[in-house]
Amino acid sequence: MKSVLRLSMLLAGLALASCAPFTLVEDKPVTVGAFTVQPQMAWSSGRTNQSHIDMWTVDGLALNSLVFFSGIGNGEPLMDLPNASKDGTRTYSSTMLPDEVAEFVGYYLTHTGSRELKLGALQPVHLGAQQGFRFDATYVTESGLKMKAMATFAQPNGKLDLMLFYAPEEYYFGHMAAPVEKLFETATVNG
Amino acid sequence: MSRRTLALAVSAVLVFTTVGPAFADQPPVPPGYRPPADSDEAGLWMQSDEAERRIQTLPQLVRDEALNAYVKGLVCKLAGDYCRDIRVYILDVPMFNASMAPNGMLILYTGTLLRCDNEAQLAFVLAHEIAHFKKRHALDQWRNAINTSGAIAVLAVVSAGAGVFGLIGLMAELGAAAGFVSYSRDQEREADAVGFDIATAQDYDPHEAAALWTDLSAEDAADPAVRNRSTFLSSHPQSKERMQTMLAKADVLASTAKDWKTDPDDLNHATEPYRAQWYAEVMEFENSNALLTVLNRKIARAPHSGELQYFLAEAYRRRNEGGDIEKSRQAYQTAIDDGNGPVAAYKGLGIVAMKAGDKTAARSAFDQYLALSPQANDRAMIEYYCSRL
Repeated sequence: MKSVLRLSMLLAGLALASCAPFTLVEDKPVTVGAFTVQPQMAWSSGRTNQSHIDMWTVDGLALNSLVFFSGIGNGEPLMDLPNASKDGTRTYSSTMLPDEVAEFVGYYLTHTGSRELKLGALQPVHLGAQQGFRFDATYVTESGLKMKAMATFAQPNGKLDLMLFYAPEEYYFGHMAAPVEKLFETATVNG
Repeated sequence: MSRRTLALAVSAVLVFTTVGPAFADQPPVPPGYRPPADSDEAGLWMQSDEAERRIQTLPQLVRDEALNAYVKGLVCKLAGDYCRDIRVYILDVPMFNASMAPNGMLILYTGTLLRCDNEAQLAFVLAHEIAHFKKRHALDQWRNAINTSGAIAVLAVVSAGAGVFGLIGLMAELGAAAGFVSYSRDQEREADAVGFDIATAQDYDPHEAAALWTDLSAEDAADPAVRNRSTFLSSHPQSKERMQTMLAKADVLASTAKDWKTDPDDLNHATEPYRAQWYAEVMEFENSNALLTVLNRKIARAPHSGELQYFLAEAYRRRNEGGDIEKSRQAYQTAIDDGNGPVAAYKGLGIVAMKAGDKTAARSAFDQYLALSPQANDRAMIEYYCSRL
């Protein structure tokens, strides 16, 4: 049985499970996992009980979420999916080409309850000294809410570092798109 | 809607499905039938009506007018005077399934539309469900369930899955209910027989019924988990038994001189805008093995379909087990050679050639992709790949 949880609910659950409090992130350069970013605004930050995942939000995880996945290694999942068998969960491979990484991310969006996933075209970008890639996505939650997402990632030393931002298409994504775009453009990966 | 009401409603939707003792043979429902208001059947219908209102709000409901008109038109052709009594709801779920509620609500999964090779096969599926409605099988099973387990037990099982009504939640509800409320095997056999007569009366090739069950049996064998995911498969007589029964009936009927039809073009045209999405959903929600089984048998019937070869290549590439990259490469090439594959086949060929270390072939494929699609929105990415070759 696949997860019935939406990504934001799942991540919120992870945060609650770890009893980790949210802390203020001020608008000054900060290192989060593998990334160093200029936040562009104040965020609330929380760690999950999966040590490679950090998440930020401005208005609440269901309304806008910026998730940092750091150092995903060969044979590792992007995140643990509740009720998913080890055999059935797709894992990262260091030999994945960027298009395959985008599909890998799409798999996790789909398996956290999203439907009608459409991945936008990949674009090469720079994440500091690292070669990075960028793509957008749209999907619909299982309750019918239209969502938009943007992601950027790099594969330094064969490991995957990924930033994923997602929000409801109506109001919240557009409201946050410009500062998050700027955050992505100024991000560096500490490979 | 309260949880209990929803449970009642969902239970009514799912009454179509149970293991049960022998049933009392009800007279066929006449066209335009509504049960008497003071009957238990009226209560059953009321619950189905409530569930139907819930179904109408599901985000998984496919609302495309053309596709709905096509399926509804086929239902009407098969149902005749019962056309107005049956309402079709197409749900975007990648498994093979179709079901009939006691009030005439027919639910059809997109996974069924994807798997049927032609209109004749779809006609046999729909005719089977129409037979359940005409023979009032749901009423029998409902009464049997109440008599043997009591209403509380019926509701308890179904309400266990009623809290979640998303894509997976819906299937969980269907699955949970199927374990308790499903038609008896005898009712399924009767629906097969009546449905067979309904479809062949419209000149649909009788051998397509057996062909469909042969295909489903193969998919079942390739991935036994398919049976667990499909209430249709798990509640019906074994595919092998159905296949043999249908084949025997088809052989008898086909000996009569008649111009039997399969009508693959109408189904292909109606589903064309959605097939790419549906193939992707089978790959994501089931697995590549299931999709490969479906594609390989479709290719056996239509070996020069560039579209099928392209999705076959995609399935092998994504599965990426031993030898899959080479199989993927061959399928992309076949899609291209057949002349009717999508331009994206060149990109896919470039990617698998790159993974195989064949830089010359990769560059050639990427160059052709950009030549054929100069405005491609992933041009920068293709140029990046080329820079690495």
